[in-house]
Amino acid sequence: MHEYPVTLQMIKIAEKHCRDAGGRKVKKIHLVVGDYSGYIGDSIRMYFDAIGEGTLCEGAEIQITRVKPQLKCTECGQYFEKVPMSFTCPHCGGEGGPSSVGKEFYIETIEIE
Amino acid sequence: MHDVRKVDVMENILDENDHIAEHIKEHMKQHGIMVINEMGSPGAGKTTVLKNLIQELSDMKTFVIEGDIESDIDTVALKELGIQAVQINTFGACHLDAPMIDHTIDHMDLGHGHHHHHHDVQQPVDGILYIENVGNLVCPAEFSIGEHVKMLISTVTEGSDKPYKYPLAFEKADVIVLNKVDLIPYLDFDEDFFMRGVRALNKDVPVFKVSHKTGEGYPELAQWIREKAGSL
Repeated sequence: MHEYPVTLQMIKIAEKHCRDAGGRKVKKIHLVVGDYSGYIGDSIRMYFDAIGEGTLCEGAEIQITRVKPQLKCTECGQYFEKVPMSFTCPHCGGEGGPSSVGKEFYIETIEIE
Repeated sequence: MHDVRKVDVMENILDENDHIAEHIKEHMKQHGIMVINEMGSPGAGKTTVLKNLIQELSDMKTFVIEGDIESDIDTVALKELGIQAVQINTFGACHLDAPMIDHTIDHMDLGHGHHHHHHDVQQPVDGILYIENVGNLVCPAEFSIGEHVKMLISTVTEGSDKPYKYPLAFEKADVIVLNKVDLIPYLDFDEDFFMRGVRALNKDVPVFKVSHKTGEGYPELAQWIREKAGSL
């Protein structure tokens, strides 16, 4: 259920950029999805198969780049991947805080013809 | 054979949602209303916290939007208290989004009947719209719905590991309510561990420990909300 509205929105954005660039068909959508964005690439593909029909995106390939979340150490400033139940920095033992890495959810490029 | 061309897009999928959310925020502020997005797991006591706050802040105008997957029992209970409450049933969807709220607000009587004549004049904030999100600790945190304040309800019965398991909800909260604290003596809730997790994610967020049974914490929480409304 959760991915349905965002898949619609993805199609809308891709169609708009296709038209603006004078294209007639979207062949490929390159989506960047962080693991903390809350969206599952496979679910987006599933909805896309159903609701892409009849749009400029029908039949397009959905390429998804997943991004693993990273914390940023408040001591040494390095980024690192969180391990379960801890925020500790593996580089200096300091404490990691939130960063924007892993929250991505955008269309990077489309291929059109 | 047609030429295939690559086009740079770089557009966030949630941009439209966020634009609508910004519009709601501004619109409600002009009506003198602060919007609180209340989030928490099923059973965290969201409706109970709401009722307590409404009582504490009874001098402010009160509006409620109840998000629920399919029932309206919370809305019925609030209406019995004489509160203007509107139900949104998401029928399966796990969160509310800005378009749903925008549509709902269009049909609400927000008072201030003369606001059209004073569109540029800032109303003093003397009302609160509480939006009780769908019971879920994951998805609601990802969507702005036009709130000025994200209020997260976490409970001692859920355990002290919640900030570690659901970091986004804790990271995004503007205020955290730790509910059912009267039960601490009967549980293995590790408050230090909980607070370390909260602080790692959200350095300055205020945390209020409340209990419906004892009433503790509510006057302080209500005071924080009052000050927040005054500073909008």
